[in-house]
Amino acid sequence: MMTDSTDAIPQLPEADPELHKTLVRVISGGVGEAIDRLKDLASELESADADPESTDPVALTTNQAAMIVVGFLSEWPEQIAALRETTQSMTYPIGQLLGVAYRTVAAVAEATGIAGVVASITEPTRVALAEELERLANVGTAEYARGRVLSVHAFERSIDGIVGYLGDSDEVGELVREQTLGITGAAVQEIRETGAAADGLTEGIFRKMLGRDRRPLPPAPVVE
Amino acid sequence: MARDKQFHVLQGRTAGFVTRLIAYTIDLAVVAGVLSVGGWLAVLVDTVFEKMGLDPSIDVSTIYVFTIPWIIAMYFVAFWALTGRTIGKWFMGLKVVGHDGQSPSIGRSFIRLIGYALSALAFWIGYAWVIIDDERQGWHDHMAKTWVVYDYERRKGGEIYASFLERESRSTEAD
Repeated sequence: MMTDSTDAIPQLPEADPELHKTLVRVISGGVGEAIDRLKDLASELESADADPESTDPVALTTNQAAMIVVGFLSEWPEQIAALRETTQSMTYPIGQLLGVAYRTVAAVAEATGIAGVVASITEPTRVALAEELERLANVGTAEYARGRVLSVHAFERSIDGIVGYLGDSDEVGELVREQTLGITGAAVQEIRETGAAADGLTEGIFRKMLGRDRRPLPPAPVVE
Repeated sequence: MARDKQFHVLQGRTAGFVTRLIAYTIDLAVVAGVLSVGGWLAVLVDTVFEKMGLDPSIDVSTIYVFTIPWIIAMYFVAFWALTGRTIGKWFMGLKVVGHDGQSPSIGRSFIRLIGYALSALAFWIGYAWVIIDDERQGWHDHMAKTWVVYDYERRKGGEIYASFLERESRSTEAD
């Protein structure tokens, strides 16, 4: 028996305008600030006294860090633009953008060994990302619960429809009957053919024991 | 190749001992079931008569015992004459036929039944004769001039029988 329990379907929570404002501020401000600081850092690294041919570990690290930061900064605007374009149609582009920004900044910080310098940049991004992720998790939970309620209704409606169709359809009934008979018939046929094979085998053994010739084959029936 | 194709045809060929034994066993089980139910009913009737205080000169059970041979006879003769198949033969895809390929008449069916009894009395040799007879006939078949044939078409993928036939075909050609 299907019941109409639309009231039981949980509603999705409304988006938090304050949170969105925070996220926009973090992106335009926090990440922008991070980019500015990284640019400064890149300038410092580029002007550092590092011999490109040196095998000194410190010099090598400085060179690598400079290359990474310069490479990152040169591609960053395109990456941001591409992300904005690809995430326009997504449900939660801000969260994804934040995730990318945080991972990128953290990766640069780790590679360059200047985590302490960029911590002030990454920390607000990380906090905002954590908040956004929590919100998304809550939305996801609500959607999941709603989906389960809806899926039960959908399943019941489908089953009702299928059962009704099976009950009303002569063709389906005929198919079921044929299938049942087919399985039974195959089993009986197996027994018959096994018996027929055993007929010849038994006959051959006994005739050999009694020293009789093999039974002459009768002419085959005419098959149209 | 054409011979092989003909050789694999099963329908219409005389049936061997094992298949017929299985069919016969099924028939005996069916008859035993029918007789058991009849016996139970006879005892029930006797019990009811006793409870009602009736005292018939002869028990229904006694009458029933005397009818058992007739029930058995009717089972086989009726099925042979009407359809050529008993329940066991129907299950195993067999049919009793005469010269004309039709089911035996009632007369021939009675003769076949007598042959059944004689075959059994001779320590079942009459049945076992099917194994060594060139046309796979038992004594009862010879008496009634009947044959028991396969009455079903082998499946195209009937592997067990097909592999047996191929093996037999090769050994026949080697002989």
